[in-house]
Amino acid sequence: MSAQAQIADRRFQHYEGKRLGVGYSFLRLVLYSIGWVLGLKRTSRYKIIPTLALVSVYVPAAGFVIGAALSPPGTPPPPYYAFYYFTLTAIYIFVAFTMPELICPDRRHGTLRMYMTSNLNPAVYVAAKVLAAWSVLALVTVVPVIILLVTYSLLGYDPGSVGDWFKTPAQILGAGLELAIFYGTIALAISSLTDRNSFASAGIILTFVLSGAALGILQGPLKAPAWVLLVNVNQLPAEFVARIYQLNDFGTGAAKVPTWEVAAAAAAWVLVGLAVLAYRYRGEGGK
Amino acid sequence: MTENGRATIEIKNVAKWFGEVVALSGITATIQTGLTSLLGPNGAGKSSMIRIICGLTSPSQGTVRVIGQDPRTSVEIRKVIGLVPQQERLPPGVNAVEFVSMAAALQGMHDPQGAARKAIETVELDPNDRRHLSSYSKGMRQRVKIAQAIVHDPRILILDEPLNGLDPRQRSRMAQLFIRLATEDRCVLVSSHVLEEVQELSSTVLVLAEGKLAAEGDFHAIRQLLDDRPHRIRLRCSDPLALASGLMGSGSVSGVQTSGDDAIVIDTSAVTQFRRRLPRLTQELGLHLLEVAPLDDDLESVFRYLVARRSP
Repeated sequence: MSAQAQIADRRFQHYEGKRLGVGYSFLRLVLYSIGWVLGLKRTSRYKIIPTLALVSVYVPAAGFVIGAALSPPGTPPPPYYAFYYFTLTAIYIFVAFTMPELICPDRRHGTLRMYMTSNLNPAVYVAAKVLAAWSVLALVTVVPVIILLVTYSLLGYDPGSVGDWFKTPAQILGAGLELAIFYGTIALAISSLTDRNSFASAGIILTFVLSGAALGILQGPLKAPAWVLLVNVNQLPAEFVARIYQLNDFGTGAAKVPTWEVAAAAAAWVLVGLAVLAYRYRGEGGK
Repeated sequence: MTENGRATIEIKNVAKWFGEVVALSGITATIQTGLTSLLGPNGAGKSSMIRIICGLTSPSQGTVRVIGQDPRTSVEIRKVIGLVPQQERLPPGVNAVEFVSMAAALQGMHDPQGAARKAIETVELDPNDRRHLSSYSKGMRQRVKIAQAIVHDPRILILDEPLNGLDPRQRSRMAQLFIRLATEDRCVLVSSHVLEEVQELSSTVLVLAEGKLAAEGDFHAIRQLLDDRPHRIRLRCSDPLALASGLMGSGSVSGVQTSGDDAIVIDTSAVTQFRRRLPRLTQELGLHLLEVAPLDDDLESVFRYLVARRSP
């Protein structure tokens, strides 16, 4: 054999390269899940519902901006909280049709087991899905209102005082995130009860509709006390938004219910949702 | 790693029950590097066994060690296990590289796309194929599932019923793939409920039945064991009494019963000898053989026999 010649090692070589940790896998699952429900890198049919929902939320926001731009000088622009009067139904629809897509297919297609034999465990998986849900919903509950804030400021409708410069963005973030966290968690909890998107969507819609209808009956003909609002997953988060914006109520007739009770009830519902998720995924993997 | 550096799975006295239902009972086995088939009828406990090995559920009793560690508590073990689940569905609206890249990212691979392309090539698919998985054939989808399982180069590859529903040609190609993956210093465990499916793998076999380990060892030895068990066969012919008399005289049957006007049911523990003797005998006696129907040849009864044989 010449000095330059060598025999190549053709045997199979195992991968000895770098392996990243749980944090990386968690982040990748969050980003993948957000892209998945928004239909990114998927065929057109998966983009239809997210696109319609986004349009139905951003069009009212655009209307607010146009209204503010065309209104006579000195006329105050529509308040930020009013945005939710026009978009809550669209947000419900967005929640009902996108949240199941975050977790139902993983069970249905068997990819959940694939996840559980990776860096992920049930707690990390659920945390990633919850964060993805909140992030996606923030696109329709927070971002449009921030756009309003920026546009109003550009049109000269600045928050009045230095205090308002802090308070207004805090109200916008607080109200938007509260809606995203509340609806996202409840919808994921309902979705975790089935592996079929359609059943989950129906369950979410029914929960919201029945909850609202039950409250209407209780508070109307049955003259129930105002606190029954606290068990109404339809109206409770909107009522909390009203309190964040320092309004008496959100048209729910629940002005007598103290704000701390509204906040505690919303937090309790979110915790119940998280508990359901933890229970539903407790048996998947175990580390 | 074990002492000789070969990946192994050690199962010691494992039992798993769900309330009153016993899924696994007293399983003790060792699975070495190379190809092993986990064989058993539906409901035998194969999937429970696989879930325990992967750490997806804990045994109710006993221990499982994967490369010396508890798969239920060791995070490191996840890096050495690849699982191909039984479900046939794959996420719609994504292509193979996207799907396998996601699996690679979840496994913490530094270059998920590069690892995905390599894994897809390993299973003999085209990584440049941009078609969605929904348009793939069943065999191709199985290969994609295997690609996602090997994308992080696991030392242990577990495939839950991967040959289910494949045609003979696809099955043969898949078997060749498993054999190749096993030669790459891997421990490959393939579960199946069809004996003939694993025939081509010529592997070490673990047979589960009714939650118990019914047999283990070389495939051919187990095949022989199955042939040597007592068989009950129904024969229809033009003169059943003459045939019964001839068979008893031949010594290849241990019992004969009449069954209707034109049939007999025989018991034999020497089925190979019986198969050879029967055509010659009917020819010698000038009989017309109308039907030969094994009455206990379904896998359930075969496995039940194996379980009973092992019981004290």
